[in-house]
Amino acid sequence: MKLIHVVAAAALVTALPLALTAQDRDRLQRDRLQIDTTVSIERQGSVDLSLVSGRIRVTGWDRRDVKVTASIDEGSLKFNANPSRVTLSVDHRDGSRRRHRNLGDARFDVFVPRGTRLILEAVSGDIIASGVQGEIEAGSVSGDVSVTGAVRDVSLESVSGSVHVSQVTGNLSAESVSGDVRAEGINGNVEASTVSGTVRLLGIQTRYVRTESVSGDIIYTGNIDPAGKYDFESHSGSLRLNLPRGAGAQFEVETFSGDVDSDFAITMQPGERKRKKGRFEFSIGDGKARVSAQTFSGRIIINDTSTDSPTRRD
Amino acid sequence: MTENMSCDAIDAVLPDYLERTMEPVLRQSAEAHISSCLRCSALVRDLGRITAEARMLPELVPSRDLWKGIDARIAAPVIPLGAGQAAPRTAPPRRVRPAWMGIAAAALMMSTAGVTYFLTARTLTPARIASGIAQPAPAVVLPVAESTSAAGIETSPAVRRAAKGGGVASFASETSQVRDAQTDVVYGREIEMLQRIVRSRKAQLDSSTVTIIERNLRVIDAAIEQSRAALARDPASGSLSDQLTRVLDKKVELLRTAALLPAST
Repeated sequence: MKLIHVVAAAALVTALPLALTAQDRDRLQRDRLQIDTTVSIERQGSVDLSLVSGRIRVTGWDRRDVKVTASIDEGSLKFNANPSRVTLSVDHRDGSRRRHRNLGDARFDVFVPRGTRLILEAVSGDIIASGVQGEIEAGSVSGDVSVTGAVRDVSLESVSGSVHVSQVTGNLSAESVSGDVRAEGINGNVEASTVSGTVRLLGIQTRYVRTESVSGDIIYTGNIDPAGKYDFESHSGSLRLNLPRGAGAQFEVETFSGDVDSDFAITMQPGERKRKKGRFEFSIGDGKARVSAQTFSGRIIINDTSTDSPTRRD
Repeated sequence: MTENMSCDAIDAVLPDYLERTMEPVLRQSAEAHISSCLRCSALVRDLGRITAEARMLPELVPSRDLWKGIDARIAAPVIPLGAGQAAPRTAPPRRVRPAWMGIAAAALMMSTAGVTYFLTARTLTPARIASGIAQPAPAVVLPVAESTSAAGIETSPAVRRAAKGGGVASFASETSQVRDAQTDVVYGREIEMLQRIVRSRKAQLDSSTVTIIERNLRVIDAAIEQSRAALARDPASGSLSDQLTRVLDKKVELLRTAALLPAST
């Protein structure tokens, strides 16, 4: 009997760890496919999220915690958190380090304290950030990037997706290759570029704008600060500048084969006009700001926003 | 015993890792991470490839040596001590003329700035718009060479004319053409190198992304051709030259973006 007890005990001792290991393995597998957790982060901490395909959604809230809800169809989630930084990414390999054949979508829903710095990256996934009121650096290759409510430095990029950004107090850099760039309600320096997409800058309050495109149109509706510098360049896209009636600026307008239309009375001071093959300078209002508009074949349209101009379009 | 490093830590030590100046223990940790991380291994591989490509580039040299001329003008004559008036000077002392010095300094600065520009233009950082600072038009110091054709880049009429050294009506026009030809050479090399990298990465990128990149490169190429054609008709036009530079910049920027895109798989 004693021998039977010993064998049974030995079997139990051997089997228990095996059973626990299986349970652990299940739990770990579940954790790798799904995360639902809340961690604390210090003020001005940063949250770094990246995935291949799927969607990243980040929302600012008034709590001091970061709440992460994430899932992935294939592969595993890699989550790390310390008081200053939270990171979440995907790993499309299995335990043997072989890559999964099917890359499933990942979905990240993250709440962060307002003021958190965000670094968001996706390959074919969309990125949405709202109300975070911190610095944001976001880029997607083929997904859309949409940001509302950010401060200081905001840098957004997409290759084929669109970039939409609104309510930024700070410096904005927005780039796309074929997607459209739309920036609205920006109070700060603005730099926007695209190759074939359209750049729309609406409700802009700034002293510095620099935009460029190759074939895409550029539309600017915003202020002209007396100390401001505004540069618009396109090769074949049109440039539309919708300016307030009281705007005062020295314009340098240049086009090789495009047309120039202006609602504003163009005042040429003696010696001011330097017309030469599609290049000329003129002033409106007090002429303090500097505005440069250059195209190769695109049309240049300067609208007065207080009139119903037939060429006006936002 | 190695400590597991994060991607951020790898980013921070990457220059030391590539230069092989890391502590052995740290290097071991870095290697362990890189071997198991898709992102970091791709980054290291890409940087290695770009470094190898950069090594193959020819050395940049100024088109002429300015120093001899400057040195001849600023070198003070050696006068023996005590010689005083008894020893007549064989030649009058050269005076440093501020105007000439200014020109020489400006030329030297342009030369240095040109080299610096082209060296920094080949850095690995994706092209970003520097905040508040417009991208400078490149000052070109490379000699005109026939290497554009060798590099497989279509040469513009300006290049061919400049390379042949054919007669040009005015000095301004000639200067402009030579400048444009030099610009073409430099951009041609840069573009060719980036195209090689992008071609090698094509399989790693999503096919729809590749299609979009190629489509937009065609848009830029059309703009380049239009600018070149206009410039051929009006070779002295600074604004057309600037226009061409801008679209060439755009092409370099797009190729750099494509070269550094994350893999889709």
